[in-house]
Amino acid sequence: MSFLRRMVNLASRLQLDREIRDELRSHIEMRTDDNIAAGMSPEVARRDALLRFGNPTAIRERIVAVDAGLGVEMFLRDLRYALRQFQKNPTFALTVIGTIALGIGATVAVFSVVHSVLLRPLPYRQPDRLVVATGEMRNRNTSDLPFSSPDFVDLENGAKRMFDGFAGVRTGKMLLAHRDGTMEQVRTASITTNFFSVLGGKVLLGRDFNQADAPSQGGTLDAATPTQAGQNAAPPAILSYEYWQRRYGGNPAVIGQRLSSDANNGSEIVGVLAPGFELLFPPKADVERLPDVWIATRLTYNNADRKTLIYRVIGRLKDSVSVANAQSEVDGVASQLRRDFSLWQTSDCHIQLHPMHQYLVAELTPSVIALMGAAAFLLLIACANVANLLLVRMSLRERELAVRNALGGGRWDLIRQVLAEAMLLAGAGTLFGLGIAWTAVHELANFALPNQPLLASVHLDATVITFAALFGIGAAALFGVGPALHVSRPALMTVLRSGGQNSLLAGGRLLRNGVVVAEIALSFALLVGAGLMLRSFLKLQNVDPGFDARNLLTFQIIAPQASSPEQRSAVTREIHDSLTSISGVTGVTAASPFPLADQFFPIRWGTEQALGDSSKFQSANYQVVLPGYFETLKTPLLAGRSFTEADSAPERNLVIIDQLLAAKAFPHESAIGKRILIRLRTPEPEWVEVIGVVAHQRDTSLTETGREQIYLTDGFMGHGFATRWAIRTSGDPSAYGPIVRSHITQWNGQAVLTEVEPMDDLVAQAQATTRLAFLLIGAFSVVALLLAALGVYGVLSTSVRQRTSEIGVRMALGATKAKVFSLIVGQGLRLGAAGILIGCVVALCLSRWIRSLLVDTKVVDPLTYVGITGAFCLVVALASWLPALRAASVDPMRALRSE
Amino acid sequence: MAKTDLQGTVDLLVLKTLAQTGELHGYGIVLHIQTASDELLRVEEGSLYPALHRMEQNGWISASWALTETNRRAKYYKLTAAGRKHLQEVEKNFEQLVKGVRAMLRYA
Repeated sequence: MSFLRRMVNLASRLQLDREIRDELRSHIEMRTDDNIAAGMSPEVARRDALLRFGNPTAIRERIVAVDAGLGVEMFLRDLRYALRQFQKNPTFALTVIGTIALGIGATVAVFSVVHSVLLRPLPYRQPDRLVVATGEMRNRNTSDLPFSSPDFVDLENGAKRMFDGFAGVRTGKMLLAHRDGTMEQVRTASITTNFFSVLGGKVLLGRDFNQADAPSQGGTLDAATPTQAGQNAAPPAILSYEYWQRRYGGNPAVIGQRLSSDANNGSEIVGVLAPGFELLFPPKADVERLPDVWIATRLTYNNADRKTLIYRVIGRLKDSVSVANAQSEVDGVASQLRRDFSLWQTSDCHIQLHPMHQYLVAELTPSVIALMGAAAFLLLIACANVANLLLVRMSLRERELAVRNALGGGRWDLIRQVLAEAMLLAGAGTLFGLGIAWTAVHELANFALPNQPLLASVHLDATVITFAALFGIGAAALFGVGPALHVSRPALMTVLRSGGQNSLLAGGRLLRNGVVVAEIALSFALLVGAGLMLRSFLKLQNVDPGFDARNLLTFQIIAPQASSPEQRSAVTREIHDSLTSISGVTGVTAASPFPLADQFFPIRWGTEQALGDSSKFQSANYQVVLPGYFETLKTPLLAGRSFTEADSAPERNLVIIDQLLAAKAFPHESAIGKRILIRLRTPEPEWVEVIGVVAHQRDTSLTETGREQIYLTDGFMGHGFATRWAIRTSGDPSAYGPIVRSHITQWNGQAVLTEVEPMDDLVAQAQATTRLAFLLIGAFSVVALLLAALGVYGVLSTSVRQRTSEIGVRMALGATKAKVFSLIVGQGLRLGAAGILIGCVVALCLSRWIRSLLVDTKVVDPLTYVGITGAFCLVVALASWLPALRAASVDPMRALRSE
Repeated sequence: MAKTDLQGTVDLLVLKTLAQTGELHGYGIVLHIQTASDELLRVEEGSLYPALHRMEQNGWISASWALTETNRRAKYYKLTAAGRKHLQEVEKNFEQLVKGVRAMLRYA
């Protein structure tokens, strides 16, 4: 306590100085007064007072010295002393600082991920009251379904007692015609009018939506005929702050304007959102994170709409309501719906509530926690290493410390000295560690999976930095206290008497060996993981996706919609011709959906058997393509023929299937000329004829084979369906972007060209998850390996010091330098062997964690295990090198004499 | 043996003064010790003020600024509970020291 007060005094030294001066002056003045009262003249009285008092400055200094006597100034001196020690031996200091920096850097980087993903509250008002409602069709084994418009209305009305409100949202893209004649594609979110009030979104300018903006059509079935009132005017819109800035330069006059040039029909802009409002949904929900335009949506109440599951639903619980209570209320709504509607009944549909934060991070949580565990382990190992190194160093200075003790340096002085060194090292290490973490987090945010909204917002903030500081102090305590306590009870006489022997190092050898073996085991397991990821990554590079991604440019062309199939067909042909006319373009095609760029949806297909038994229908992806698709993408045709222009017509029921579907549908015969049933254009299945079989394409992921595939012509779907184009170019495809743009503009000023991307980029994005996992595990394992090497070095150095005299004896008795050298290296290798053995077991136990990340790689991959074992032996041998050299250069005479 | 030294003596004198007078400034303490000891003891200002500061830091005395009867600002000190306890200890130690020294002198 008094120590604290001294600290405070030091901080306010100026104030203290003034107070002391005042006090001394009042003393002198009082003496002067008394002297005058006793009859002296004022001048004499004052001189007498001063004389009696002595030198006020000297007294003042003595008073201040009371503070300095103990505490901070002493500590500063310790720090300076520590600094000098490190200057004398910079390799040691740098090794330790590096070790701490690696440990802290990894931990802080991972913690900042944990912080932004798991700990930071969602950016909404009272986010703990928000729940996401999803549909779950138990008979069809599907969950996480959105809601249809009438289901939403029923849910909202049925669960009113427990909820302050439900908000619905669906996102998409829209083509906007601007007044200047240009077209623009914007991201839109259609929302119920209460959306911002339920989530707590702030409107910066203008107003929020109100119920009158999009009256929902009641909650009774009588309202099944849509009311026409207000249907003609487009519903109003609110702009995102970012879009407002980008498109309108932040001009407040946009309020009241129409969104598009169509003055009668365009949405009126009624407000602008405050910056940074995000729609946070997990990637699988396929929701835009940052819509440009928010449009009030009109909920319909047609039973026919119950099949259209489009709205994502967020509810706000009333203050006193628990999730469990709300769930049972919602269960009641669902069972009523199951009684009323056959779709609900046959699919056994239920409504599931999830606290919003949990819903968002459910997928990420296990891997984030695993990462955190790994990082914490790494930090512990780093601390153990540093403690070990400090101990080695203390042992070298043991005599110095003992002498200092003998000369009157108190126990506390020695402890303080060791702690000062530890703190200096920890401080520097923490600073560098923060630097490492900053870089790592920056990289992570750069390359974070674009679809993981919470990961993209990872950054270092005050909380994280505080965390780092606490960890630094904790680390210093962890590795400082051990050696400090060791030092503080030196068996003084033993040390002084024993000369070179190190009593300090005698104890804890088993512990140190154990730590090193654990380090090797851990880094071995991590490296095995990294090795497997590397193999996967290499495999992924060589995966045959069923197309040739090189020299392929993809883009979407959105042209004003033509009404008749003939017109649409003509538009497609015009675009096709325009693109073909570009010199250097050797192939042009379009498809929808397009591999690796779009979402794929399954349709139902079946063979003859399915006619009698509808359970025989199975799922396959479908893709609508222009003739020439397989030729342009260089997808091998395995049997039959590919589409011609003549095939592309609504009445020509011709399909091409991939080899997987062919093998499934017609396992022992040729598929060509056979018929299958598909359900796409019509509610009832229709017959189509197979004219060709092509190699399988990987459509949504490179890591998985994916579903079987059916290809249909654009004409089959009524033309104009395939909108994502691909051109095969000679030379760098991205160079063709501007040329394509000018050609398309020339063809039609109204057409919009978006998402221009070389196919190679799409492939790279599809590899991102694997690459990220590989880099993370790789970085961790390299750090762990470095630490393990340091650990081996530390333990062997200690051991060499301890055994100096033994080695001397051996050499005196005829052991060669080579023999001594191999003795020490052998000791290192024995530790290494133990670590590798345990590491093998650990790696095998942990391998199931990594299985889902691997691509065509077996979990027990002999090549990986053998290779990494070899690498480890090498590293351990290298780490033993220096201590072994030191041992081999022991001068037997000196070693023996020092005994 | 009781831990007593010269510094301890100054502490004892100051603490005792404050115990006897209640509240007093530095100059008053000097005067009081002088009168109360029949002019036998004089505390140097050079050791008084550092001692006051140290005892304040140790929480034995507390200080506040106030006006003297001659309307000068002065720092007044008074005993705290901890100071009172400490005084008892120091007094006991001093008694022992005196007893010891006296016994020593009487030894023939």
